[in-house]
Amino acid sequence: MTAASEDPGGDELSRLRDTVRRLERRVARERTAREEAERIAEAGTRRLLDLNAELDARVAQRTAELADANREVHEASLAKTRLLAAISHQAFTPVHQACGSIELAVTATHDPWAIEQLDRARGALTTIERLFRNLLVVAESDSHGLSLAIGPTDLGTALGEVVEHWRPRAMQQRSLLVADVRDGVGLVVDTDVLRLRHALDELLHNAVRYTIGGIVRLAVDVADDQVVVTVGDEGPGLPVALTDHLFEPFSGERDALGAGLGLGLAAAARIAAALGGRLDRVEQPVGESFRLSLPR
Amino acid sequence: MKGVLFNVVEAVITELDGADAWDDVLEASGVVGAYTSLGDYPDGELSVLVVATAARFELSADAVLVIAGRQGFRHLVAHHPELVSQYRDVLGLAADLDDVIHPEVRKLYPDATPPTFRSVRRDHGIDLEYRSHRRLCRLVEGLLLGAGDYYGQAVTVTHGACMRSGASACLIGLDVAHPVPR
Repeated sequence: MTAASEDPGGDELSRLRDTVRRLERRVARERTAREEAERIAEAGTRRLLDLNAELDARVAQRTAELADANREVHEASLAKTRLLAAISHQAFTPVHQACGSIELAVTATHDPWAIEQLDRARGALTTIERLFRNLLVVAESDSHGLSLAIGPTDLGTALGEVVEHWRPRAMQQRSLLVADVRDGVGLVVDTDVLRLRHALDELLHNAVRYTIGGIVRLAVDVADDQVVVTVGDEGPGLPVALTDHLFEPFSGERDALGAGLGLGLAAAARIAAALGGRLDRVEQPVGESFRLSLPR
Repeated sequence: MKGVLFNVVEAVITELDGADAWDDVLEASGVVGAYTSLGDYPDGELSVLVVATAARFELSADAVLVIAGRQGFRHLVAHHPELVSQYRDVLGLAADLDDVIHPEVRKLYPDATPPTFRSVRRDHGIDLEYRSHRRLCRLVEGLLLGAGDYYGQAVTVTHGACMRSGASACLIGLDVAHPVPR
């Protein structure tokens, strides 16, 4: 007879002990595994927090660098526009004086050759004067805003003067300048008359220059809250490529005739904005048309 | 080696012969066996576990690895279904081991060192060039068979040149009776 058969309860006890031992080992394994998993999870969390802090620091650093770079670009741009404004201002006065001298010289001679030469010189200086005048407006506007001298202005008179200035040039182009300023006669608006004339001058200059054997029209519409001056022509229309950035400086000219730098419309648009209005292009089948709106 | 593979081996042995079998294998192996999926454990522990399992089931160590791979594949999928759900068949999965699967594995386990697989597709199969310092090519065979089971495809795995016989890489061929059109 074996010991087991002598003690049947002993086998049972042995099996129970084995089971308990296995369970104890499993529990110990599970506890160890759990502790390691917790350690790994904590280490991962710490790493994530560290990475997050590092990322925050990098973002802050990059943001500061970007702000510095933007500031530098802005300052450089301001410096450039100030320089342009200063050069334009300095150059504008002597050019203007030279134009005056030529006018005097023309009146003092009857020599056709001399008159012709003086006319050419006057034309060239006028182009340079116009360039500096527009450059000054764009530079001033972009750096610190246009200075204005607002005062009561007779709109009909101001428009009439500009129209009369451009009528002979239109005739030279074998074109007709038609102006309907009846609505503006007697109308007094608070504005900067010199700036307004400058803007209108640019619009008419473009219209007359590009229209050969056609009609240039200037019309005034007066509403309750605004005055709208429209200048249209029958010249070649603007290339489609230009229409999206028409009022940006140096965006180009309308065709191969153009010898300018595309500053006229840019200057006119800035003046319109400074006067509280706006300049818009009006699409039309033939030629070009621009609408200058001003507050009443 | 990542703990998730030890978890898979544990799941397979427990499934085959109960929880006591895993206790016995651990005891025979002399390892603690407290594996957590994110942990990293010595490669040698897998070797002693395989030897102990082979002894218990009276199988060769190679057979244990093939069985662990084939039966363990679905346990791996249960851990990371997103790794296989994007494929329609075993050939698509096998072709992307290096370029898609293992990069994803490295995201999950940054310190993992998965093997490399160069693959060349054929009409009804794919040739894989397996390289790993662990030389677990039999486990790879099993995993490919398990992937076939998972996608419901009858597959044949052949093993040519082998690192364990001195080759620089193992050449493993996988053929599918009815591949899914690419």
